[in-house]
Amino acid sequence: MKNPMNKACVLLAAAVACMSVAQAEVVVIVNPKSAASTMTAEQVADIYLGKDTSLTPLDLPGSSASRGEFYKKVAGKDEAQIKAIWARLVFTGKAQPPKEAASSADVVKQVAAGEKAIGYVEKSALDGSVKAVLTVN
Amino acid sequence: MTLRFTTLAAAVALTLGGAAAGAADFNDIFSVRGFGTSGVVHSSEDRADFVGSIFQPNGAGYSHEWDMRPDTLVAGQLNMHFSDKFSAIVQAVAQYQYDETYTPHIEWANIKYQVTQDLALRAGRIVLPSFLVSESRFVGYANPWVRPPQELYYVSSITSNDGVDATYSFPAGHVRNSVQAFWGTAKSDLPTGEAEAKPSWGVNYTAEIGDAKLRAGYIATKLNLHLPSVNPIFAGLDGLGSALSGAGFQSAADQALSLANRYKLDDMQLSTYSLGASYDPGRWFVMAEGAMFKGDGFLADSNSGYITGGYRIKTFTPYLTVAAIKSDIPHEDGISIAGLPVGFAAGATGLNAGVNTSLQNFSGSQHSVSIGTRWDFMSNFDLKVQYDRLSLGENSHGRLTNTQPGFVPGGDVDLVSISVDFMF
Repeated sequence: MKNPMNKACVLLAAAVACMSVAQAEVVVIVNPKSAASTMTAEQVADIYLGKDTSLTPLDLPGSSASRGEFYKKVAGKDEAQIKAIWARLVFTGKAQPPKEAASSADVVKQVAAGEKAIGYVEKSALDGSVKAVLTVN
Repeated sequence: MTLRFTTLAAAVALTLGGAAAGAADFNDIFSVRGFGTSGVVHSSEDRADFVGSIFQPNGAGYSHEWDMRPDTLVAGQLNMHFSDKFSAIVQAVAQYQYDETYTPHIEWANIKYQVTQDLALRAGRIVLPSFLVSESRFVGYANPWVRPPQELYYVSSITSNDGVDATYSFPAGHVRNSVQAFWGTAKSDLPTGEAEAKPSWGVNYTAEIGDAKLRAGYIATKLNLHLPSVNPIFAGLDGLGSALSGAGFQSAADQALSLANRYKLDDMQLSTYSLGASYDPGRWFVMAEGAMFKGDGFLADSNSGYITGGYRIKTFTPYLTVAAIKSDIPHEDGISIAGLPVGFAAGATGLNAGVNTSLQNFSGSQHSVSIGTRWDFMSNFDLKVQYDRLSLGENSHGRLTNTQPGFVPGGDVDLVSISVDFMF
């Protein structure tokens, strides 16, 4: 995903345009068998903050810009805050933190395969194997 | 001996395993993690020690000007997720303790059975859920401060129970409610003896509404303290009581025996009522807790609480905490010496003084103001710098210990703490 984006930046040679391209739209996805057709940001935040354990969350790799954007917009919290919250939950055994997937494609693959899985990916990574329930913006 | 060895072996295995494997999941069932704090604290009071818990015999101030022992600890944890119904957890913690070592102990080792989505049962060694951050009391990385406010958290120094608990969760609209009931026993080594809770039980209720959390709790404990250093007072009261009785001074004899009975350290019935709340919308947070403790024996009633707030500026989270504990320490008139022969009067005066000294020693009053900042300088690490101004209550050593000749109760003490928290 990175290379086309860089190319676009070079071609456009406009920083503002690059910003808007780099801020890829993030969508929350679930397994197609899931009963939910839409979810609110609060519902998604509850799952990613360990308050709701009905679904099993997946994270993008730590290096992904979409990951930071997802947490900032859905939970209003940054990486360090999320880590402190999970430290509290993990060390009490109350919940398991989101598993880190290898890439957006890997998130889509795991959500397509797991009935209770939930993930978030750039809109461009979406395909028919999963169901989008929330657009984060 | 066997238990000790098992404890040690498990802790070493966990710590080594954790260090080797990092946060890696061996597979879907086992996950090994760890956390710790490496901290140093300076105290301006050189005739008494600031300690991290009542289980530490000495600390910063008199023993060491700068001391790593109060706050430093390392812990390893094994989470086992056998199925959606069955899971288990083992946590071993190594921190400076009663015998001046860092020998690891098993803090938790329990099995959880999720009966339904709403009901969970646990058995084994389980955290004693006294306060808002009891479950992450040792996890510096999860907390805003260098250490939870001692004024409140010292009220319940025993941190885990061998027993059972049940947690029932029920949502009501946007509110996530849960009620927990627990029962268990605990035995802890103190620098001066041993504490045995047999049993302690309680209930607590928590409600979460978005970024807000409320908690109310009750704990009842039947506590036995085995403290050889205090035994002479009881032996003295009993001895003087029978001698007085034999010599015909029945009312003074009765006073001596009733003192021994009132302040005995066996089967003390203690209870703690607590309330707490926190709100953390993201950019800032505030939390507050209060506890009302009903003591027995030499342990005085107390009221304690704190309020803390912080504001996040990029990777820095400066915070301010105000905390206080007020112990209601009675002055014991003791055995009336009027009309007693000189020998008996001297004995009674000494024992009366001993009782009042013990009452002061077992409880403290103090308040404190703390300012500090947390700095999330890299992933899985934070650095905290904290300044505390402790104001000890009148005639009180507050939460300081190991007081030395020349110590003046009721003064002010400055603490400076620097610590690094980590998790892996």
